[in-house]
Amino acid sequence: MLSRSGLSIREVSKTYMSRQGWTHAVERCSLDIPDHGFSVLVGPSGCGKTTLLNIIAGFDALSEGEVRLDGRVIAAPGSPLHPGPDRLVVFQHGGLFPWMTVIENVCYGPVVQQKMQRAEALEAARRLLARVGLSGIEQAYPGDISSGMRRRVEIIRALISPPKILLMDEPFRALDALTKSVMHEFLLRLYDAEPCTIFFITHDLLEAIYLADVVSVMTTRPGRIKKIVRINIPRPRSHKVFSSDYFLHLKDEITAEVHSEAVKAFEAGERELA
Amino acid sequence: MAEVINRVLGSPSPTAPQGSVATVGAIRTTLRKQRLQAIALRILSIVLFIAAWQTFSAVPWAIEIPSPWDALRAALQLDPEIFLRDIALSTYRVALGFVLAAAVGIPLGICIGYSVFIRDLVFPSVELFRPIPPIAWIPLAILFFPKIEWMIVFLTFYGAFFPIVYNTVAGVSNIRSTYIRAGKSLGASEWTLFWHVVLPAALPTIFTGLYIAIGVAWLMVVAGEMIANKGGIGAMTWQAYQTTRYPRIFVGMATIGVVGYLSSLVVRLISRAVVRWEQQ
Repeated sequence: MLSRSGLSIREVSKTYMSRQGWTHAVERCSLDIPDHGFSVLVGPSGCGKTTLLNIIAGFDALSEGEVRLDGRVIAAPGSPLHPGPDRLVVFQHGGLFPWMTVIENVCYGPVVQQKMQRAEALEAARRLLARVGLSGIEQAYPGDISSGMRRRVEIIRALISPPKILLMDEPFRALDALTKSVMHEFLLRLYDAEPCTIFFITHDLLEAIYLADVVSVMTTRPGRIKKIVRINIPRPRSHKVFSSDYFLHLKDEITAEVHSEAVKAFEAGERELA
Repeated sequence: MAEVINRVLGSPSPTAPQGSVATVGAIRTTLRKQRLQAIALRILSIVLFIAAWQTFSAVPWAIEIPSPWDALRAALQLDPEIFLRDIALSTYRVALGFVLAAAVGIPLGICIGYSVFIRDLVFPSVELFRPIPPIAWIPLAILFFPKIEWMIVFLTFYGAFFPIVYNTVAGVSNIRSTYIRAGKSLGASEWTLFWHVVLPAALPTIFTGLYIAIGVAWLMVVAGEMIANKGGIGAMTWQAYQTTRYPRIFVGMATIGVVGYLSSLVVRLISRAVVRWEQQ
């Protein structure tokens, strides 16, 4: 049952004190992401998806359960937080450092971890940026490039020295539909070339099905895994799958699951206000 | 491309000139025109001000108000050596007080912003001092400092200190948590995180503090010099009043304005060179 490689989330709960008293953000959540698997977690807003990601990343403590990465415990109740380069995060609102140029941002990880010399890291960053067609903006600051480019640079920054798992927290949420679809192609091509283990959070169901090997549906707060759906669409994938019967069937299935949770969340919210 | 040109040219014309050379030329011409217009407006602002002053001085008030020309004549009558020495002395006092305030204020602000322990320990006392206007310190400063020079520098230091501390605290404590998390996640240790993430993220706000502080430093140097009467532009202006050479008061005031503006400009230029990523 316990897989040795990949990420294993076992019975994880997170409770915290807030103004309304004790809040159960995540409750007895279990999920396995095999090595090189692309796992997407969907669920209504505020269901605890980001809390779970922050626990895996080492930003937040958990109350119960444990998280293992390649068999090693990385989060357990009471253990100190240690975020690190084995679990890199692509942030919801963008995490590039605005005071560093694009290339400095991309080089930052390997240099600060002393995995590479500066010159070596610059060379690797240049090669990687060139491969994804971003050579022209090496010396630009993040504030001077488009939001789609910023997202791509942030992904490249995370992959220059590959982490054991890439954690993506609704990374394309703020993008317009067109840029978003460009980003999907970008991410899929990177994944096809070098599959890495990815844990991806979104509430966009089409995005989830298009990208994932496995889509997990989370319940409304307290968040639990309600359903796990395997996506058997062969890779490399293209936009054509959007109109296939299989895709539409999956979409209906997952929409029904998420919709009922969203309704529950909405009604719970109304009760709280009443 | 056409969209960009339309935005720059400000015309939604669908028949924007095609071809990169022609369009770049068109954009340049438009930009140059806008720039010239801006410069012309700024010159006009000064001209209008002088005209207003001239009109104001022509009104028969109870005392005679010197006209811009009276002030100019008075400026030309000054001994240039003494005048320049006064400017240099005031500038030196401002620079010394300002640099000391930055040297103490920025590290202190960083500590207060970074550590809750230090914040709770130090900030309440800092808050007690803040409502006291710097000018209210003049009597105590005269009594305390054996040399009048130290009193003046202390006042400039004190005036510059609070804007620097407050803005540094704000800059450090309002950093987006995402940057800290990104830094930790990329493998930065506590110490490198401070140098690579916390400090650069706070720099724009720290410079806002420095910009405000240089203005307060000039305010305080003039007040101190007027009391001390030991050289500097403040003392010169005050002596002009005491010896009833009124046009010279205007020369003093105008000089403070110009030199004060120039020192703000220096701070802004340094800020632009350091905070390169926040342009436009």
